[in-house]
Amino acid sequence: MRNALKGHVDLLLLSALRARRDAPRRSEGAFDLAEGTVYPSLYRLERRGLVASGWQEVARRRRRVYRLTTSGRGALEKERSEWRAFTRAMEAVVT
Amino acid sequence: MARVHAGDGGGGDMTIDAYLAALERSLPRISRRRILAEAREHLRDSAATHGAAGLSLHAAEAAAVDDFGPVGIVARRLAAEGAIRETRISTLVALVAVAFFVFPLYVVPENSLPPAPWVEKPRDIFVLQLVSVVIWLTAGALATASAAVAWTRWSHLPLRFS
Repeated sequence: MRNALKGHVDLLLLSALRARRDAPRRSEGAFDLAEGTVYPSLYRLERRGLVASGWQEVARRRRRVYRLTTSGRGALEKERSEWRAFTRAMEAVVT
Repeated sequence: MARVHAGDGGGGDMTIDAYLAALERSLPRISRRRILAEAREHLRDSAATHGAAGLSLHAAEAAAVDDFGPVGIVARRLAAEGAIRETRISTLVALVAVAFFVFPLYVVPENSLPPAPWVEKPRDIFVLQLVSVVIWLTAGALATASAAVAWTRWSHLPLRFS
């Protein structure tokens, strides 16, 4: 399953940020990524302006909090529609 | 899903401090501070969660490190992203430096400059031309050397992970 994730990590992260949920948890363990490998993807999204981040004090602990930017929401919509078209095409062929 | 453990680059029985030290050695200097701070907070949070679930302090740290992933893989991916950032910042600094020297040539009105002292001294013009050629050749050599160093340091790293 981890190989199948290649090329879709951005979509997963953008979706998780929009829903403010943990993608691996929502996938019921199927997307059990090593937690540290998520950061390079987050940094790349931030470099592209799709995500913004900042340090915040949460429950007396300093945490880096990430949020979607307006461009990020646009990119998510675009990637999501491409993903739906892809899965529709796959389902039409794979039986 | 299976995890990779010590011996094949995994965290194994590492403490958080040992893991961060191993991570630090592989990161580009320019991004190191933020990445390490973020990883430290993440690992401490994760260890606290494991501790609350009943693990000992050492076991909780080892579990947090294990969840974070093999230090070799995580470091390699973080280093690749850091290298891109480092290159962008270096390029920006180089552009600003060039603009700093070139921009005044366009904004200073020609008439406000003192009369050219070299008009009657052709030898001075030759010296100035020679100096400017040396400066440009030196700048070119430095830029080429920097590009070569950057290439040898980072060319083995993948540019994109997804």
